[in-house]
Amino acid sequence: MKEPMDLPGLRRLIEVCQRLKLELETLPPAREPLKAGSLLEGLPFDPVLASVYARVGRARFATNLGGVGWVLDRSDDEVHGMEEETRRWGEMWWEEFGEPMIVFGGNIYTYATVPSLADERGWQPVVEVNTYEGDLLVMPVASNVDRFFDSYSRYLEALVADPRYLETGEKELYFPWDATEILARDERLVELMRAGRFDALMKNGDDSTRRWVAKVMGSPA
Amino acid sequence: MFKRVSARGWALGLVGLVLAGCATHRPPGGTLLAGLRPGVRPAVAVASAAPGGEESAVAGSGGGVGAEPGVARLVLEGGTGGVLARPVRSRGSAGRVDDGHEEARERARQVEGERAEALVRAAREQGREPDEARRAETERALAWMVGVASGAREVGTRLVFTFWVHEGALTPLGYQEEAGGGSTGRGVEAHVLERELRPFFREPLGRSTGEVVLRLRREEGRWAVDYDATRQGTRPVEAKTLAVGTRGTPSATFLAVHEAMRKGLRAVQVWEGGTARVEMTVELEDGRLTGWELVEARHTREGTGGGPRALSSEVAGHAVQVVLPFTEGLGRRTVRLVLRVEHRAGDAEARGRVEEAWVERPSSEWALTPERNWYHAMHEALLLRWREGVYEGSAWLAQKGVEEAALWFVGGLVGKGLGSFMTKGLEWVPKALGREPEVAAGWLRSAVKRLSGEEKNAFEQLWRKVALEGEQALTQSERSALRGLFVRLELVVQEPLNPNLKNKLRNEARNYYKELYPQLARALDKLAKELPIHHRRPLQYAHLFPTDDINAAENLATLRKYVHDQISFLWVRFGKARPNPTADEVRRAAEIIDGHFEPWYHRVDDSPGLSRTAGEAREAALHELRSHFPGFE
Repeated sequence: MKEPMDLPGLRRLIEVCQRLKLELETLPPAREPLKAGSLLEGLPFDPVLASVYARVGRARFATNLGGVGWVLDRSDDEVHGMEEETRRWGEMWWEEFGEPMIVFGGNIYTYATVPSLADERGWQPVVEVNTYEGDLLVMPVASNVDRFFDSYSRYLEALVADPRYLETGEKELYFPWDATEILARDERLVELMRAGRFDALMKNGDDSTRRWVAKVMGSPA
Repeated sequence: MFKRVSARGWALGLVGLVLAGCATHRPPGGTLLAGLRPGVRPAVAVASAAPGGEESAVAGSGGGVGAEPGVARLVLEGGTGGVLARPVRSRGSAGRVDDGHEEARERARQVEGERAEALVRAAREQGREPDEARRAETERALAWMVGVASGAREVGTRLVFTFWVHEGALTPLGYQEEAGGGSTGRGVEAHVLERELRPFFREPLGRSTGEVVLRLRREEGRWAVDYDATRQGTRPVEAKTLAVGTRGTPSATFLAVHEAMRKGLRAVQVWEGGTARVEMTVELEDGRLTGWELVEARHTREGTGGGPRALSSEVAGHAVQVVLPFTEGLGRRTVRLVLRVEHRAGDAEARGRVEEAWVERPSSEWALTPERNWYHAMHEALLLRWREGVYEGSAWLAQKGVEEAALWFVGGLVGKGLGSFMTKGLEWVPKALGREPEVAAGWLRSAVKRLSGEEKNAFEQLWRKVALEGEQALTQSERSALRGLFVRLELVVQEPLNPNLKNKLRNEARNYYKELYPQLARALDKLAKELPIHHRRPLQYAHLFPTDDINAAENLATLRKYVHDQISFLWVRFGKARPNPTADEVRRAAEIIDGHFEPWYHRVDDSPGLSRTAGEAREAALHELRSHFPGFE
């Protein structure tokens, strides 16, 4: 049997939650989790996400921080939340975005992989999707799911070290908005952005979103 | 002989009976939080605890009517339940929607009250010693009484000191001196009188609440003391409720009062051998002297035919001694003093004593309504830290930004009547700030989020200065800066929100909603993804409603994500049909959507007894939107 791939980003996120005493909850994986490349709603299932679900059936990270915490949708022997949400959400939004996506978690916004932008290994980039009351805003956040966990763990470290958070508990840093320096270290993500691969998805962005993109890419707006 | 004097401009008169024209130095502006109706505690919509223990289901949508088929059940481990017990409303009833708005308003008022209480509690407790402050109150009051009494030696003289007492906080309300007419008694040393008085500061001036009158009667070699603590009455607006831990009067206050008394009484002269009644007023705001006036200097006894005599400087000194403790009160008020001055044959100057001093309040500001009480309590709490002035107090104050103290910022703006100075020529800001205090506070809280961090800090810092030290404390450049920030507010509330601001406001809305509906807080934390906070009028149209707080209680509702997605879908359609809608169009669309989806609002489960699914509600809403908005797909 093939060894599941290493997930240093997920390991790091778990370690950060433990070290910073942030809430961390996981459920055991399904006996037969979805396999890489199997079809979900007609889309190839991301190999990195498949490795994640081979380890946990659901996970909650830093949810004691309210809206900035992050939840991996449940997919185990009892509940197929991730699969059902991808189907339901897809029916509602794929057409609007002109792009099918696999929904796998989120905070107040939805996080999804984009199969059409997969690399040669089949690894799919991750986007944050805000569909609140007609916003339809997409922000690219990682070149793959594990890299997202890595970036998110670094964001949590920055958030908790922020003087405003330390003094008052105020959460004034938002992912991915205030994490441009962290995201800029994801070279593959930056490459995709520079190549304009997210442009169609980000068609509803405004000037401030374009400035954000420029910051991640390390180029002037 | 008369003189007519005021701080603003005064002219020396010569002789005779005088009633000076009343120069007033009140800042312009209206009544603090005027026109408010008394707050009503909301009928609490109680959460019914879900049965079960660690795995209590707070939402059982698995397949019931209204649930999206296949959507996972929401399970909250260790949850306290979370189904609002409010009756489910039928759709399309404007009257019921209004009821919901009123209920939300009541919740908002309650939350503002709780925030004010928390701030007052923190001001009293964080980094300071309330017992130490109470001891300081005692020492200051003792020093006042002993100091004033030291100059009265005539046997039979009666001194009456009236305080409002609140848990050791002592606010002078009045002072009277009645001449005894007897012989000059033996000197009473200060420490002897102090020893006599000190027990009264344990009881009745200790921790009771109400008005306490201490009476001192001069005897041959001592002061006899008694008291009356039976008058309870209503707490005067200027009365402190928090003991202040300072040792004496700030030097700036002392100098201002001294200057006022010196100038005012310098203008008074008495005929040789004659007597006069002198009346002065001192205008105060918190601890600041904002104006004074010599109201009257009236002859009460003809002289013996000699020339006019000036008052001894001791008269002004005594007046200062009497007035200073009155500066410890709160808010705007007038202290009126009546002095009796006389010239005795053989003396170079006239002498005199304050016969009476008392606080006058504008009648409209007398009563403390609940809303006014919030502002008042917050102002006192913040003033306390400022008055105590220690480093920790300053640091503590600097942390109290608009988020925590919005009601204080708003109350101060309205109460101090600064609208004309700050907001002249602006349209939306004055309108927004002129609304009910909790509404205006919410607006300000959301509006300052649109300023940059530096602008927000500058706004808070400048406004704190105005509120604590008075508008006149601002330099010209600070005035310009503050005015500029109000102009910025006017502009930013008309600009569309960018995605980062939306993030901030959504986060703020979520936190606020948890305060409004504490029984849902745990579910909202655990299930942030499943339980979005819906803005009934969307954030993307906030700029079309510049006087409204987009995060107002009545604009927020939590509901299940799959239902929210249906609503979001409708707003996407609306955006396509009306890329640049008017405020009325957005308002109407929101009303239509509310009419169809309100049964799901404020619930973390699916309402029992729903007659249709969220998808069916969407189709019905879509139909209605199409009929109102041609071109709607």
